[in-house]
Amino acid sequence: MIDLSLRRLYFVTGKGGTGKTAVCVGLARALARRGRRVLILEVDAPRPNLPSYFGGESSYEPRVLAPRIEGANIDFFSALRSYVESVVPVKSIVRLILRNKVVRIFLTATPGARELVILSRIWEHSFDPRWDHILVDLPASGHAVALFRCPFLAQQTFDRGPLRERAQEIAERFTDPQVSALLFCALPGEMPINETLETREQIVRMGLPPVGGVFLNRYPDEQLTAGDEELLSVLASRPDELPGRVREVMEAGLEMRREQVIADQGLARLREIFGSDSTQSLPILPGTHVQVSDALSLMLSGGMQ
Amino acid sequence: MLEQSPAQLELSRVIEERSLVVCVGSGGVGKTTTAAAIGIQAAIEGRKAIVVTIDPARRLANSLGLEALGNDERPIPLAKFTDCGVEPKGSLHAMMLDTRKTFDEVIWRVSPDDETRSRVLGNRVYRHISDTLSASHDYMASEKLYDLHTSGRYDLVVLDTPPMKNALDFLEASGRLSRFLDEKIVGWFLRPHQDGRKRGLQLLSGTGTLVYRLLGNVFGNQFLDEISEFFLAFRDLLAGFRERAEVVSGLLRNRQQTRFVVVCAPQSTSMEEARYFHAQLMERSMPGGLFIVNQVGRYPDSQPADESSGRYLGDEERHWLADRLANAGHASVPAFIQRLETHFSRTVARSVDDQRAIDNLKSFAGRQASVCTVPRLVDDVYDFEGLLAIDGHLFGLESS
Repeated sequence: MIDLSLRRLYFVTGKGGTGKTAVCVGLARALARRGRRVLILEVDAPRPNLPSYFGGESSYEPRVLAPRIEGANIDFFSALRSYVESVVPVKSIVRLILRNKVVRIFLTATPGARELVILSRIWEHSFDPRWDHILVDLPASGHAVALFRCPFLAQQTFDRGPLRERAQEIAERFTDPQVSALLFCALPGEMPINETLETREQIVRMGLPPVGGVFLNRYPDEQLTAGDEELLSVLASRPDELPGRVREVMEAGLEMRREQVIADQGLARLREIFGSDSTQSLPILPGTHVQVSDALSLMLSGGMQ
Repeated sequence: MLEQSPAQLELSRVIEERSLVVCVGSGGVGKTTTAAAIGIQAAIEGRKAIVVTIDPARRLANSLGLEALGNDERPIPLAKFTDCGVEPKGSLHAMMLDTRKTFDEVIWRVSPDDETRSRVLGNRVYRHISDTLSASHDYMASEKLYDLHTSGRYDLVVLDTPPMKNALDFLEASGRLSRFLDEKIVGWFLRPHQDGRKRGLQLLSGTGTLVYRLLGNVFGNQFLDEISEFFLAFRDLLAGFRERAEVVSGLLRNRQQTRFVVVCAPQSTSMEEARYFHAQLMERSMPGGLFIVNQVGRYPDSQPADESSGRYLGDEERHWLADRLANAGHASVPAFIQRLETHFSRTVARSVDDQRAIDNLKSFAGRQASVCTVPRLVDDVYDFEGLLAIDGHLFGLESS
């Protein structure tokens, strides 16, 4: 079981479709149930996911989603405003900079500007005493790695200046094992597991946020046993003799077993690399966003102190 | 000759007639695999096709049975086809976009002279951004697309895109670059110091100078100098860049040449994103209306033997099963049969949900849209035969 009560800032990443948002929401609900105040951040999502779980409209300023849970979507232009405001105290000057059309185009097209000001906003939130924990729903793994490299690159690129200072502060905070950790979401299947392990390797090699653990989503619940597999193979040995419906049921059963075996292999590989204590499987959950995250939160609160 | 469904016919026409197929959709729905399968079928049907992935996850190589993919265009060996009993009338290449290398190639190609080239390649900002940031990734995807499309080496490019959000960025990239490279604005930004004391930039208008100074305070003067130097170094390359950005932007909207394929899965989240993506394509006047739904459950039509209890197997069938297993030395198996039935009823329920999701998608997208389906596969597809089997489902042709 992964204990989330220890650190303040959690980044959740994984390939697309691995259930990052569902896990974020499940974790937030689990923490809130234990009296913790939680902020969930989406990162420049063109179409934020949180409203599917909590209703309402997404916003840049944190809004209350549920008791002790707040959420926000950090879009680039609002984050840019925050950054400029944090450096320039005079409001009219801030407006002058941000209103300028050329400045906007310049910043939109300048690679890295987007990433840095967004990280800067996460960094600001990470000091805010209103929350005990901040969960960041990151983009898919390849781009999450690129995002985290930005503050390091900025430090190499710029010898001085406020941007370099901010980049350095961000890098220090996000890599501090007392403060931050990176959580992965994965799916069973050989290739998804390969990708998870590759991304983890990249992250570790680059000294990015310390790895906190991995959630294996859509792990099939054990319905058919290894013993059942033997019986199924007896039936499968002469499939032509099977009555139509029995054959369908048998085929679906064999597939189920195969899925189970693949998932078990995947889980074993994750445990080997992440460690058993930092690897948690979560079952296939039917239902709406809300039902899924609710069920997840119950499972996830088991491991929290 | 097997009969093709209208959707399968439509997809067949697309790979026969178009010169660019762009696969878009959310992550984890088999987009890369689908792109590879489309490329294979096109090659079989006589096109000179290339499959390009810009997904940093690098799955295409596995799917095509290649050890690795690089920034160079690699031919898929003929033996891959013939080993599976197919004779392609055309050819297939595959490549993975390496941003840094593509960027370097572009600089080499468009630089008017050695000095410009070394000025760009030597710029610190260039060195750091060219291989790391998503924005440059998108610019370069667009560049590579231009290159492949205009090279004459291929008559069909099948482009795999990164998951949802980044695919949108990618679609925007050429336009964004185009806007940025608008000469008036660039001219405003990149006016060199008139007295030549300092190599850098000066903004001549009053507010411009002020804004520039303020930007210096906010982002650091060095940041501005570096970035400005970067774009200054690019000045001589701008015309070429803009021309390409416009060609790509036009290509993406050309109904004779291009077709977008929205790849999705029946889960509600993926379907929502498919609709969103469809709407985005419509909004941008990009040719969409073609969907591929992967991972579709196979038993939507299975009926229980006994409606009232909902049990799938009748008494006779259960007895038959018990006898068969008893003959093989396994006595007392009712619990096993029960588990099997429970599992099957869940599988059927999921298949029914899938079917409903597909019907909803069809009614959402309208009569003109085409929806192809591929059944759920338990194992990852990472060999050629598996890709051919997918083609069987996509195009309704006999798979090997």
